[in-house]
Amino acid sequence: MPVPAYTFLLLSGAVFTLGAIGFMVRRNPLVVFMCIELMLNAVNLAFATMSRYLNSLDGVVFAFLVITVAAAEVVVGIAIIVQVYRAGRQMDVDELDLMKE
Amino acid sequence: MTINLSGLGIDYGAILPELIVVGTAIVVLFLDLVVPADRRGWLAGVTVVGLLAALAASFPLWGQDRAAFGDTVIADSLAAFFNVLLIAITILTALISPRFLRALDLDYGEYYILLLGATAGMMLLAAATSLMTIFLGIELLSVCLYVLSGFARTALRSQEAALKYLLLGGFATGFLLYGMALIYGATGSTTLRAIAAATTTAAASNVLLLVGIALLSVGLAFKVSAAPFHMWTPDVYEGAPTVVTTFMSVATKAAAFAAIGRIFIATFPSISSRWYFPLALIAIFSLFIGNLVAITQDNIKRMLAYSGIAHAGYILLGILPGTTQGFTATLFYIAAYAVMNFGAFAVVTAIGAGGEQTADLSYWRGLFYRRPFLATVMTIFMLSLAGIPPTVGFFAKLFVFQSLVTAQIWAPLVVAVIMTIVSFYYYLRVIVVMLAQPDGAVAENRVGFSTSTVLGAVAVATVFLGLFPSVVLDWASHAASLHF
Repeated sequence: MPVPAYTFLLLSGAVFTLGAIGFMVRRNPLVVFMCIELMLNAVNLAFATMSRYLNSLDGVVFAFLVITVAAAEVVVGIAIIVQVYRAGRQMDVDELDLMKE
Repeated sequence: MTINLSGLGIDYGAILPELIVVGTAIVVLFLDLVVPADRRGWLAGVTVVGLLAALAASFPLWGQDRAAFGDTVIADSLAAFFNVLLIAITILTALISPRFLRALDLDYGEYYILLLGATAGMMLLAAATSLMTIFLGIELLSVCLYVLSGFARTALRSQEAALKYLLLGGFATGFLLYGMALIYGATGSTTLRAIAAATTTAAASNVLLLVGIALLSVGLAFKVSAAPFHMWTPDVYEGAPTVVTTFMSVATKAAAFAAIGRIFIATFPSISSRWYFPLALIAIFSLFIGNLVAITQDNIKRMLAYSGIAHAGYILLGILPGTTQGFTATLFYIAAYAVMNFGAFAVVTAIGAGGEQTADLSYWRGLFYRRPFLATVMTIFMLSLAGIPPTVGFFAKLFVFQSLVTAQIWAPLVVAVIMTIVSFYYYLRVIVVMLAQPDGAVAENRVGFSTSTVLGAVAVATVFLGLFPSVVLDWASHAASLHF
């Protein structure tokens, strides 16, 4: 079934925007972090679409690279979030304001 | 059965410095298991030895033009220039680290592993000629720096800095990657050489490509902490352990500007009319916000963070003409900034071993009477950051301004000159505070041999390069001739 490529790009753009909005409005660091992952997934969709459209493998390889690196980032990210929770019992990013100008 | 490997471009010689740095990190990882806890200073020694080997392996790359691994990395003079710069910064960081880490009870072997990992990422970024390796380099350095910013595990400030850096860094990575996806979609390739070939003057109206470049620029501007993508900088610089701030304030910026040069000057010269204006705006914004907000800061780490934002603006100015002369000025500025800003933060590190509140400007009152050596070198670094001759900072600004005059770019130049004069206030204020009469006795700790040697050497370099700038300028002009 032929589907125009721009529909996938629109979906990817919508998911990316949702992730970006979520990043700005949510307070819990875990949820904020999930929103970043959502943005990265939108990127992967865009890469896969382009790859199929251009008939080149580079995009798919890039998507796998993104998945792998994002996994590494999640490991570090979750560790930092847990550490923040242990150090301060604070699960609201708006209240992390020890440093103000 | 045989598999033909020719044509893949496998060339380990081209990435030998990176391989040595990663190898050193692995060696330190295993040594950390056997070295007794009170002998962790040895790990710093091993780190320095490994980095010296990587430094030696970088020199042969000078003057080459060796694309490797399917055009994803290149061994050229620019890569060699940044390898030498980044390795030198890391060696100096490793030398001032043990005393600071011991004082704050943070003396763990992982510190050196992460430091080496971040350095490897930066070197990869400076040598990257493909969107994939640029992404990989940025992430390698970022993930290591996220952990390093939160290295003081019990200090809430350090944890807060790590979390902010992680979340905002991940956000910026999202933009960077989306930009890369769009550029790939518009040009059909991920290597910069093929992208440059696909980008003709007609591409100036390709919306997909332009949006892609814009998003990519957001991600890169975040890494060099240029306004308006600088929000993380003051908090992370303040909260992270000072020795980590010392390292990342200069090294990250240097490596990211190598990538910016390769992307804008080498890959997209044909559509420079499109990226010139947004980039000029970012530079002017950085100059304004950095210099004006720095005036109001009473914490010296925050003040230096805003000054770093301002300097990102000056460095970006050299990219604007899109010429070799401009990029030469950029490279010289990066080297100069590395020397003087490393020195300034290293002084804060040396004093910071005394406790938390040492970054407050009030603590620095009368430093000339208490710690004449530290106050003297700090004066040199402040004068250099302000751009007063005969220090290297003067020539850094001069060369950038010169390249703007040659390219007849006036508006950003005027802003830069005015903001330079504004910056005198907050740099000279530090000197004035240090000259003031001390209020009372403050408990002091000694600086130590390796730290004072590093500080002395960096201060000498600041003045020496201010007297003989042509040494570095020749290297920079050779490294700056970028093309695909």
